[in-house]
Amino acid sequence: MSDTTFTERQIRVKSATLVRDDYTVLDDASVVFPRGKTTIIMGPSGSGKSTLLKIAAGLFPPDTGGVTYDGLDITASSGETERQLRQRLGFAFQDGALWQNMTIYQNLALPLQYHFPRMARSEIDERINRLVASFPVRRHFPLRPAALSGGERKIVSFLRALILEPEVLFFDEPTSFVDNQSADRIIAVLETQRRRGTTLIGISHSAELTARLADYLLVIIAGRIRAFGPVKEVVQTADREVQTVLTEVLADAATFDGDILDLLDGSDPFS
Amino acid sequence: MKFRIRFVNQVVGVFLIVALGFLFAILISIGSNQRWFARNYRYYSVFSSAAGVSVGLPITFRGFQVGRVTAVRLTEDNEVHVDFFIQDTFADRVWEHSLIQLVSNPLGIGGGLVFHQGMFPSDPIPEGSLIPTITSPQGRELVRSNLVRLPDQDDTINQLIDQVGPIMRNVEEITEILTVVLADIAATMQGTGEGPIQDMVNQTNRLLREAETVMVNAATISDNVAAITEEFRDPTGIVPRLLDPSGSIATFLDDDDALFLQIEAILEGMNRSINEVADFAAFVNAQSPELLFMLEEGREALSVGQDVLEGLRNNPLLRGGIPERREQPSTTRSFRDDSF
Amino acid sequence: MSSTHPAAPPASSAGRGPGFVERAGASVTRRVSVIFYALGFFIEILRETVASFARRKVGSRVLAMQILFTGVEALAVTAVIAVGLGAVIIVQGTSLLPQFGQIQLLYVILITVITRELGPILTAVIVASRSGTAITTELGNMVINHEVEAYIASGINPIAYLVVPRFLGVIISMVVLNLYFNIFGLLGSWMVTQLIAPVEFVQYFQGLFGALSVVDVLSSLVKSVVFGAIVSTVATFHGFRVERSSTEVPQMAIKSVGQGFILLMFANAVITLVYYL
Repeated sequence: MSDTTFTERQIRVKSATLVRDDYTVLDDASVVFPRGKTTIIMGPSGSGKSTLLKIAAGLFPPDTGGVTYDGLDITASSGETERQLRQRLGFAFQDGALWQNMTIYQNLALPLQYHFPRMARSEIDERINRLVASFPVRRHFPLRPAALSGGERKIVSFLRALILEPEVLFFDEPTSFVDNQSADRIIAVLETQRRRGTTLIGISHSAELTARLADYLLVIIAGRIRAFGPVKEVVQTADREVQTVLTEVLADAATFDGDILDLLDGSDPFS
Repeated sequence: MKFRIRFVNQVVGVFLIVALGFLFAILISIGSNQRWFARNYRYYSVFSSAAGVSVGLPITFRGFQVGRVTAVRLTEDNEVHVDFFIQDTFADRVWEHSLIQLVSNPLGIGGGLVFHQGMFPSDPIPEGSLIPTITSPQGRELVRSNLVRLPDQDDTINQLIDQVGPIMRNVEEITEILTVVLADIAATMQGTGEGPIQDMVNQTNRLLREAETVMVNAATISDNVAAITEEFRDPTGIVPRLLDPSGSIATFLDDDDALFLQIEAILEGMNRSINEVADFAAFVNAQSPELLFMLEEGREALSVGQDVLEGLRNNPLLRGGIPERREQPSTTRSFRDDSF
Repeated sequence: MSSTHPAAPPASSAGRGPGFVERAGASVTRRVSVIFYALGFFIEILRETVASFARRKVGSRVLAMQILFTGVEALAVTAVIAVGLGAVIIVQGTSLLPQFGQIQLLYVILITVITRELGPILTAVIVASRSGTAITTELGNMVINHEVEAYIASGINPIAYLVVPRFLGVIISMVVLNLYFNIFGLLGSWMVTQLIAPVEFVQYFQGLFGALSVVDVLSSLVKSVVFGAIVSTVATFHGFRVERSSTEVPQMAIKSVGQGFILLMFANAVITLVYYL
């Protein structure tokens, strides 16, 4: 995989390292996520999956290394460049991360209002309604996030990430703690996005999601990227640990992956 | 939703607009109080020194602020030009012959320039003209020729001068009493007065006149005695003859002390007169504490007056304006100071 | 470093191993770098504030809410303090000053104390303790709930959207509260003192407005602007210093108030000095 193969519109992570409290969360991670493809990140709990995803999305900068998209360093950009750049990226949080002091409707409308100050109220309404059409969300519009269950919040967060119709969508366990019907719909929406050519990068331990969507697999163990490549290549890996991770996910779709911390986070003890 | 949150824009709007309204009102109030919008009439004055004169110094007229100093500068010929303005509401009072006086308060607070109006109403003098100070030759001339109204000033000097009034009135009263007393005494001395002293003096006069007749009698008697004595000396004269048991002297002396008794009566009368004179002297002496008190009061009044004048003299404004006064020894003396 | 990462001050890496000197040195380095970070944060706020005037963004409601919480809801306590303070000055002044024959100094004292000194600083203390802590807590909780990350992910600059409205809101509230403080302290207190030591209305207001200068008013307002900037910057800065745990939130709130007070007093001294120079 030379640099020339992947030119523009790729998320490119360059030797990113992140140390927190003497603990290396991410160790010299370099990866280029192919454009228009779906990459599913896997790994045991605490392996640095979420960190890698957030760094790739430019939510915070690594201690060393960097991330570029479309040739621009995301975390080093600022002002209008940054706004336009980030408008093209969407992120669905594992724990929802909805804005607590706003209603569900405002949570969905704010990105539109911010990036398109001149957009008519009716158009905002229309876009939101189109987005949520297949989800039971509309009745929650006047409520605040605290009134929703963890799963419901996750759906809203997922929808919020899509409201700006991003070129790259990051998602962190979008289907865990979500009822089966909604999980189905989420996967369906992701499939639609994939058909449209959206680059999808996400963490999931759902066998169904992986099976239906994944083009590439990335396995991270203890902060190090141990495997990255097309699904078929990675599945045939000789690396034992990677094999274990894959087996757990792919062999047992019904049980939780044991990522206890992530599960706790997802349950939102504050609600 | 809470009322406040539902109507957040309205609530915040009222909050801001009321505050801005107040700010506006405050600025307007400051402005009107400090006369931003009023026209000022500019004049200037020449001082010998800028000491005590500063920019912003208020100019007052009968206790009202009518203007303010705007600039103080030293000219080429070492004069101190003080520019000031008079507010439009007072500008029509700037009559001809008006003066400016620098008043400094001994406490250092509340001093300022005092405006004195000219004596006779006239059209306001043109803007930009000179209003002389009261200490300038021009100003002094105006004061001397009484062309300026110098009102009672409301400052310490005035208070001092106010104190002089009652003191002077006291002095006056005492002087009047003294005058009456002295007139009485003078009248008495001339014998034209009335009252107890006069009576006494009259009595004394009468006594003295009586004493005089007595003395005249006594003189004749002593003349006679002298003649008799002379005759005694002459052995051949009448005395020996008189001494002759059959002589006349014997007869004379042998008159059952009639002559002796007469002389004794004369001497007694003289003694009484002298006693009466002594009584009069004692009476006058007894009256002297009252007189003394009156004189003493006069003296005190004069010394308070002197203090006031001392205060005036120490006032920087009037320094040197009142001549030095030497302490004079009192000319009134008590009777008791005299040794009898 | 990008403007969108206010939540990452330099990582603390004080280990257990190094000796005292090393730890002290590291501590100083950390503190200095925090100060520089804070300065950069403040400059970023100013930049985004200016930018926010250029483009009309959707932060106006946040601004209105901030003024509601910081200004409107602090009005009562401000009014009580101002009236009390003003009344005390008037009562004491009218009983003490005539003994020196200097009753007109009452107005100078009122203006010096209420307009120039205590008005701005007391409103700043009220705002710092009410809204400073509230802002720190709110932002701290937002960081913990990943709401700040959500703003970043949505392309919404947290400084532009979260900090600038609070910055402006606190400044506006501070200025307006200071105005109300003056109104209550100078005018309201007059009404209260009518019950105790009546002062003639016309006399009082003529004396007051005769002694009050525009410089006094300006100095007071400038102080309020500076104090508002300090309180909001310190509060938002500490809010973003929260990293993960909700236990950090109250700690940062306390720090926010403490550092806010120190900076306020320092700034007050500097401005007063400048005023008299």
